[in-house]
Amino acid sequence: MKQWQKILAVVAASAGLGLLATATPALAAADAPKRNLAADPAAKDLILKGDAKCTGCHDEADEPTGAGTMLELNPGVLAIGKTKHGTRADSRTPTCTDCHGESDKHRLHKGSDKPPVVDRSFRKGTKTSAGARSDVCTTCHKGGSKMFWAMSTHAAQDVTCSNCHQVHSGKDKVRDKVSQASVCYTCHKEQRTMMSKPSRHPVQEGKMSCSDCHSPHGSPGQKQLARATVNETCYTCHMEKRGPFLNNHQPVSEDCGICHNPHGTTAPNLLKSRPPFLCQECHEGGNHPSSSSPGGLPIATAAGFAPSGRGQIASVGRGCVNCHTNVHGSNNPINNGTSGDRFLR
Amino acid sequence: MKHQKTTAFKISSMSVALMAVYGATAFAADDEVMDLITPKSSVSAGVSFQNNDRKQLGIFDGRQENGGNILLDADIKKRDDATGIWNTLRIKDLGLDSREFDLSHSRQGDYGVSFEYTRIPREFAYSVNTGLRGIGTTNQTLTVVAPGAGSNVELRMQRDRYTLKLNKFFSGSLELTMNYRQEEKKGLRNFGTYSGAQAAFAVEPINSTTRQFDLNLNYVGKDLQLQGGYYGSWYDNANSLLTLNVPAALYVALPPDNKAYQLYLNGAYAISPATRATMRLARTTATQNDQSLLTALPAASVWAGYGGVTAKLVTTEAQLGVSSRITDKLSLLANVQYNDRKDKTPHVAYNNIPVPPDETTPHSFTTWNAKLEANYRVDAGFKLFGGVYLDIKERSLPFNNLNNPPAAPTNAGGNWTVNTVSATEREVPYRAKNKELTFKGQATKTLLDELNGSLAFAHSKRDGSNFKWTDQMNLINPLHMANRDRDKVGFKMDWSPSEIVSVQAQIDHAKDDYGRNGLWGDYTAPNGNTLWGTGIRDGSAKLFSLDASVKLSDSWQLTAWYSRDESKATQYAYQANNGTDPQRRANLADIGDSLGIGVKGKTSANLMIGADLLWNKSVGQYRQSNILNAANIDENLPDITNKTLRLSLNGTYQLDKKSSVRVDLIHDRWQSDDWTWTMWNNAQTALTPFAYGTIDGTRVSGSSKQTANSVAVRYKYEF
Repeated sequence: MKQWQKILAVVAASAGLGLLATATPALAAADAPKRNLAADPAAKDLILKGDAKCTGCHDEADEPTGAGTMLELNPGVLAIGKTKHGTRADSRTPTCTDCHGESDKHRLHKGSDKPPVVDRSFRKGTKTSAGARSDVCTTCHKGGSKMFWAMSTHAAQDVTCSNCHQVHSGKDKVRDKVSQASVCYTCHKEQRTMMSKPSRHPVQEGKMSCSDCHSPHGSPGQKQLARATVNETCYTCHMEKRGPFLNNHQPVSEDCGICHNPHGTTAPNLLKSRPPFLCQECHEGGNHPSSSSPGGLPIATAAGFAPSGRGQIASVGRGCVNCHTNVHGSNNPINNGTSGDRFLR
Repeated sequence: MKHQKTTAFKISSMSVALMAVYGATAFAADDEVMDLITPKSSVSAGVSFQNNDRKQLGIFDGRQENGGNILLDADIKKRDDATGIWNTLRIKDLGLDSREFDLSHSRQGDYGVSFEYTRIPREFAYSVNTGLRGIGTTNQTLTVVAPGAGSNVELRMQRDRYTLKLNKFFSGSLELTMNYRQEEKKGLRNFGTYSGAQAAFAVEPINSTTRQFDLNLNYVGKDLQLQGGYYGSWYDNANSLLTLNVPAALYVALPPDNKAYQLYLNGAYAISPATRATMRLARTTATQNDQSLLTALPAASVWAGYGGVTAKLVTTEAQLGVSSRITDKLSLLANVQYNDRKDKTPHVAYNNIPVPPDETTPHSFTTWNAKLEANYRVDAGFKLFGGVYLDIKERSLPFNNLNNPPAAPTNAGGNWTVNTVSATEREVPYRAKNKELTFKGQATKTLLDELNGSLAFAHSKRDGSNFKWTDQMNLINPLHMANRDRDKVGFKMDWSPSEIVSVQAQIDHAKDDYGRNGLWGDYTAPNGNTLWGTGIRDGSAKLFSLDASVKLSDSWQLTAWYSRDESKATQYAYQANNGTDPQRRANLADIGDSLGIGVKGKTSANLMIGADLLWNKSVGQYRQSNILNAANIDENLPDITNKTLRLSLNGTYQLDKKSSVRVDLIHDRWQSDDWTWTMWNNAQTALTPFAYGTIDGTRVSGSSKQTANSVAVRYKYEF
């Protein structure tokens, strides 16, 4: 096939025509001869020190690991050679049995039937307990950012390292900024829906990832956040909100999450509710609620909301912030009575 | 296929044996094995074309405008097997405004250095037409124009972020790491202020630099791990003041420079193989100085009695936790966190108009978060989890203002007391302490080999000290301080009836009850009216989600998911000057539906194709009713519905073992009836773009429907 014909074939397939050309490899596989499962005694190490006892069978002809699909991991076991775990020059690098155990029953199995599973298996449905699986990794990965793993919600909920990480893969999805969220969404469905709301952080675009704000391996602070508190985490990117100001807005100082939902909202600017409703969860003074004053309640009519005028200014545009522009705090010491104390300037 | 693999297996064994005899030359000949164990690199280049603007959907991805783009990406990973030295280069979207790249050099287990650059664009999805002059500067002048008769302005910002990381191992157990990140944020942001009569449009000139530096030393021993370090952060704003001439000059303070220094020590210790303790101690000092703002302001506008102040926050953190597997079946976890934020900003007056003068308003907080959790494994397929959580928050009371004590309520009830020491915190009642106690329980059961399920519940109760009454008309209990009973139930199910099918379902329901938030009928205003408490009364959240994955064959996979989320709140608001209609109830709701379908597979050995559909609909409801006036019961604001649809098709044709061509076809659709930037004309006959009042006539407009198609073709070479 000539090059231009190949390209044309790609375009045609992209438009869906390729679906008609589905191959049936499963049927082909059923006709394939059974494989001798006994390890090759002459096998030499392929990647790691002492891996021959495993790679004698788990070589390039191996089946996928089950952690992914044929499309991503085939054959899965050898792919560890592409990773840092496959860097033999690093004396700390483990070998197969360090993680999976000596697994004599599995290794010495004779015959063509399915062998017993390894001592420590990380596959879905494994009988190896969650704690035992995590222990394998935390034997080495127990310092730095992994120090608080045992205290984490993930550990308490039996989420193990291999639930998120693909150890036998040259590309670990959860360590890639673009694909990380899809791994987190496996459990965090609510966050998946929120991230598709109109106002959100740029996670879809791969410009941010969940781990920019969260420490999935546990943290000494709240909500497995990257820093000790919600505010400190937000300040890493929104440091202009940190102040401290001459005139602080109390909920801003207390917790950004009182007004904002960082995972996504329908209201602009990640606000949990639209102004003035959001602001009216705290503010109900003797002046502003007036229908004739700026910032009054959204005035409803049969047709919707009121015509242009001051009464509706708190509902449209930037809402209350149309006037209270420095709502995160102000340093304005202007000596005229309308300076920073009401966040107008 | 399996037959081919079996053959390959033999070749592999033979090649290894040959390598043993003839050395690396024979090993290198086994390309298949080398290909599987050697880090892969790739470069790709191509072009894309988009036929329409994506004002809303393209706010972050650098593809807002129609037209063509060059696509350049690379992912290069090279490892020297003999030394363990890695060199990597990753380039993403080099031809787009959202470009990023990083490069690194490291010797695994010895040292590493990396540099990363990324740009995050942020476009404003609306068009602005204004008579404002001086945009981009700190001195702007509003010129009155008829709406639509001014100049068009495109507002956008961008963050350029540079990150440098270094690490060095001094022994197997000691590592020094250094991270430095600098971010330049520049652009124009939609802004405005109160002009003294109405809202006025302005544009905030953004030109700031954020720097963060983290230097820490890690010790990883068999039982003891320590991490101690220094974390510093600095925010520098090139603009301290915006002067908006309307035509009289209004002075709007811009975010001030600030900085913070933190010393921290984290530790973990394995008391026994089954018991581990962790701790953290940290102290942070954050300061801010307003001298640059004072310098920028005309001297005559600042009260002579105010010479500036250095604001200062000192935060102390501590954490102590123990987790233990008491037996094979039982594990326990106890953890306490302490965070004390002391605002040590001097208490000073910073003007003398109004009377009494405005004063600094430092807020200090102390929080305690404690939890005790237990996991009990009844048998291999049945687990119980229980937890008790206690959260305490203490707030400093606002400073005294003895010149203006609030009036006493005539018949306050409930847990209200008059705050005789505060009036500077206008309007909002205050609570010095909140306490929330939460109980959680969860049962996880393997019902069948292929079916797992879990049922969870949580109940929490929040209360606190008496509210401090600061204004006689404000009866709100602020959302974050109010009493609250919260109940949650959750159900999860994971069903994998075979190797090829898996299904996940999740149902969550949470309900908040704020009780008698405020004092309905408990308070009589000076004019004799009986007032109603306002604020939030109750809320709820629901989530239903269903995911399915089907492995159609060895070469085809189908995934699909659907989620529906609902969050609702009922809150009351008071309207003082509306005669017999002072009280409104708002029933607010956000309802979302999301659907994702993906299919990918191989049609032949050389051709892989995929298709993804992502659809989302969110509805915001703003229903209001007048609870005192039955004749005017329906006062709803219009719902806001947003819909997005993305259909993408891709095909990758493997030209040979190393090179491929990929084609992407994407259809984007966005639709919204968001009235945020619209308003009725005076006759209430039609919606028009939002226009500021009579002093400037600035108009903000957007389209309600956007559709764009794009095609991208790229060539990829792997090595």
